[in-house]
Amino acid sequence: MSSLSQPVGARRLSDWPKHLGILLLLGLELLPFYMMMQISVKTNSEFLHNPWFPSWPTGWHWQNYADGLGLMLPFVANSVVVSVSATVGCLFFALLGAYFFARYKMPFSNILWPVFLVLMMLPGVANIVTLFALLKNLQLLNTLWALIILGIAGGQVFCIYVLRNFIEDIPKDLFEAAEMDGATHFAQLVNVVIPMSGPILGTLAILQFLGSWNDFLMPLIVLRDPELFTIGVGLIYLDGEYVKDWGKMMAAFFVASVPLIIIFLFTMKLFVRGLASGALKG
Amino acid sequence: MPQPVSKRKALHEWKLYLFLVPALVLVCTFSYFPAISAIYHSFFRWSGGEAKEFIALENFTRALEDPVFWGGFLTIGILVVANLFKMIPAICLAVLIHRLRSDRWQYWYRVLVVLPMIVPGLVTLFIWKFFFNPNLGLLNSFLDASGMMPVLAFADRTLGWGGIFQEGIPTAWLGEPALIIPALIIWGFPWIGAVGVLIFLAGLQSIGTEVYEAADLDGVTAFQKFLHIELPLIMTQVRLMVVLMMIGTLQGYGLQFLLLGESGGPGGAGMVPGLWMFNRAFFAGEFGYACALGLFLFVVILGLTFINNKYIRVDK
Amino acid sequence: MRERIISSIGFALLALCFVVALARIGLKQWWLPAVEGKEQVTIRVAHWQLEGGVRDAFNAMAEKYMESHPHVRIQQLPVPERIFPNWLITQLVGGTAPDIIQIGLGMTEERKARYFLPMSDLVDLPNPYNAGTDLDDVPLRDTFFDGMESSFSQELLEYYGLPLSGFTVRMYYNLNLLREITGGESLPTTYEELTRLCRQTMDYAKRTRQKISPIAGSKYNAPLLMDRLSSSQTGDLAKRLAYDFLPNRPSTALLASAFRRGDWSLETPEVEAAMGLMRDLGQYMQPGFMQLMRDDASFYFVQGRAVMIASGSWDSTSIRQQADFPVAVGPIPVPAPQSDPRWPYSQGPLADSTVEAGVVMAITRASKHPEIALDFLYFMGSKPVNQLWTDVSGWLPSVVGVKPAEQSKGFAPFLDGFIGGFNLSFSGADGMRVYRNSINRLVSPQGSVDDFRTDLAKSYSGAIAEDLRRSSLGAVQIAQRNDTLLAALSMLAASGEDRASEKLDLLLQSSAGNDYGARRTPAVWKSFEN
Repeated sequence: MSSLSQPVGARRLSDWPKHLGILLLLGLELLPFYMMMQISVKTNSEFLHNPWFPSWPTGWHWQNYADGLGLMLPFVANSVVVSVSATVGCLFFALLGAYFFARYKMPFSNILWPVFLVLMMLPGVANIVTLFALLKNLQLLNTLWALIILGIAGGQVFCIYVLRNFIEDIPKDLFEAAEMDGATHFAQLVNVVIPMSGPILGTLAILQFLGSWNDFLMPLIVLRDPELFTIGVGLIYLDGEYVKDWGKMMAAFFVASVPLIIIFLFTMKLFVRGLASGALKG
Repeated sequence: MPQPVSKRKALHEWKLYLFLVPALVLVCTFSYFPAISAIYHSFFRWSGGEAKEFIALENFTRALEDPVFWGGFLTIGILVVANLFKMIPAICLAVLIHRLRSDRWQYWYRVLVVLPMIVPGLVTLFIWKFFFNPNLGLLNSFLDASGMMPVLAFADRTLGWGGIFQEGIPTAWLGEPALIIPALIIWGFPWIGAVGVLIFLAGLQSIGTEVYEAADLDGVTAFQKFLHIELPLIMTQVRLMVVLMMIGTLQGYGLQFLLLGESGGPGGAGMVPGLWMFNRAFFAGEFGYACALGLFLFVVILGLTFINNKYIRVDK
Repeated sequence: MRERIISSIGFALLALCFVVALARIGLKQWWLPAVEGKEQVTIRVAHWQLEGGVRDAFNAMAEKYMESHPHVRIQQLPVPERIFPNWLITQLVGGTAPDIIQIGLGMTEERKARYFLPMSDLVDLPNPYNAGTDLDDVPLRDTFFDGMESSFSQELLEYYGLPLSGFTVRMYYNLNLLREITGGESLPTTYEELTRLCRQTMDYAKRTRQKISPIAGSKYNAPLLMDRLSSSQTGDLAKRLAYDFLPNRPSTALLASAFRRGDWSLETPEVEAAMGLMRDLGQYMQPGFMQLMRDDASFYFVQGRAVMIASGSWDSTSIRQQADFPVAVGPIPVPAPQSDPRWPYSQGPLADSTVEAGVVMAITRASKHPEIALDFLYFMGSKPVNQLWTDVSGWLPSVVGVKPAEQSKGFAPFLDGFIGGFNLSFSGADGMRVYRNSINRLVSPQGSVDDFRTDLAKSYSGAIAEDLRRSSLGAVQIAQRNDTLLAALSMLAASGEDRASEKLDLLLQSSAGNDYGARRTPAVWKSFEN
């Protein structure tokens, strides 16, 4: 909503300051990323002599990446399993729940809906303490299941809220047509809702995935065995070493970011579009 | 709106209830039950196992007199105010992008804004922790190289900050109690979060070009345009972000835990209520007391949210 | 269209990663154990010593054990020091505790009693793995250089765990820099030589325009040096004031009450001399050192920016691994008697009176195979394996008669010397806090002893009072608990339980302040001889 009926050339000139400003802000925001990349190929002493600028490509210390991979890859694998499972599970159950609320106004739904809505307002700060005790009683401590289930449960409220609004806006005739064809509710969900909700599902998926990927408090408390550690715990342990080879650590940080890079590369547009449309409703 | 449905049809559609069951079970077990259990256990002296001792309101009276806890609220209050100001760059960026003439550039910038999110928040935090390192950190190198160090040292001497900044001495950002809150505020510079920017942009979309044309005709300056056109129209988004930010900051302690450790760093300067609750449970083993602390925190946040909803209303 | 292809590739990639990761987990959790057979037992050992060499030593010991015990798999769980207390609670409370845990950080007597298995029944029996060595038939307790004092809980009157190592504090030297500065490689043996080296370093740095400090300090390393210096001046004072001499140090409570009574103050000549001495050496540490952490100082040293650093034997392997120059180790000298009129209270060379055994490993109640855990514990605490430990880790051994590794020879404790006195942060947490807050004025170039004294005096008395109050409360609670114990044991002893009369004796002895540990530290007696 920006182009006016004006000669393009004349307007472009006055845009330069804006471009500069934007690029400056974005550049600063990307500073940590830049630092991570350029330090990851240096040794500690190289870094000391030249902290700001990248070193010559010929002198790049690829060994750091080999070490970083060795350190982080198991954690990345665990995180992938947990985050993907949590995201898929969360969206699946949230779709079901949202469909229930959005399709018909079933009896009791006006009691059940606040059950979810209220949780959006409730800060679950104290929960972590009793959640720990609960997990202990369910024998879920020191398992990845605990993290997956918590991820699914945690995301339900927000996802159901957003998805319900979305499904309500789907024209009723689509549903009725499917119903007349003898489709079960589940089939209606699959055939009517899902194709239309690509962007919103994508956005929710990314948000859920990110939330699970970045989580470290629950994994820290729950996990004991190093082979189960997710990225969060792995990074904390790495930070606790006395002898810190920063090149290796930065390489390890990069490895921890790679899956996200892949995801964003492929789903960037989905996310951007989804946020724009979803946000308007919020 | 969901279709209203007759009782008979509803009975016929009973299977639909099954759709809700998993979500309901999950939410009740992992959100409601722990919350209720926390309220219950806050009346006990409990160290996490089976044994617990009923002590009624003792945890609460102790919490009311706990200086560390309430001191934490002061700290978190400062952080909330700081975070309010930290929203400004995101708004500015959104406005800047929005005002571009070219749609293509707008689109590409939207994409670029999301780029920093590829670095997981945790990694960004650790990189910033590295920036704060006194010997190797870039913050100190930057201050030295840009000549700001002597300025800070001068300010230190004249304003009597107690020798925090001295030339030639590497400043321990996370090691000096007085610098911890500044460090917590500075981190994340320049404070533009992709989610925020995109939400503001979405809000700005709804401003029609006629408004701009009218403003141009009236000879309104760029800044006035911002104040009178853009700001009021994105107030709903701003309000949303403010609420989210407040709730998040108030109950958050992961940041402090990672940067400063479980005691809030030297002198406990970075202790926040959530961290103190975590500390009492998982370092001191006082689970019951931690539940009581959590309850207080919960009430405070709830109260603030209500106030926020009631008084900070913006009409379109 | 192109967009959809790209998205699909993305999702396919993600799905692939997911499947691979899942397969990996499935393999490790279900497939392998099933294949290895039902008898496979896993023993998990947790500790916080992430310093160089230690994890390798644990691995070496584990491998050796697994050679002769093929059905047992030993897994090491190293946990960073900073989150160890947190980790400990979640594991103990959550019931997922490993079989063997290192005792120390985050431990309270209550947790010991609740979650760990005592070994008191076994301390008088020999270690089966010592058979065939010269420690064959020697009771377990006597095979360790401290008589397992480090495993003994005063409150509970039980032994928990075995110590694997010992710690002493030394000065590390960068031999390359030393050679450049002094032309030789001889380490300072007297305090004067030490300060001379510091001055030479400052001159050298100025001449060659390099940023080199004599000593690398931090809020962790500096006290190691300064406390030692302070002790050298306050030895006699402590003997006069804290006459109820517990084995290796003056009684905190007596010192604190003497202060409150006015028997000594920050102006007492010995204390003033101590402060002066601390400033004398403190000025040679790099500026702003009190805010730095332990790894900052080590980093400084291994990057060649300081000639010396004071640290414990626990850092020896780490520092040597990181430094690309040869590292030598020497004792920290204190002023000799009558060597300098500014510090006239020196008694003589200080003994390593605080040689404590460390790395105490104890068995948890949650262990599913306590007998195997015990067996491994015995294994680690036996003479041949402790030799392996010290060889691989470079740390001091704990078993009597084990020869320290070549590189840790410099750390072997001297017991020949004076006990020394106290330092100003003796009283407890509050005393430490106000001391640390003021210490900058003592050691910074603009500060002075008077500056420091005036600043400290503002809150010192109050802090000591607070610490005293807290520790007497604790002592009262212990005494109360002991009262019940005394009564119970008397009754049991009267009814003929012989373990009970043994315990009763012990309890009465310790209540009467009998320093049974003193026979292990000749240094105590040397102090009293004068």
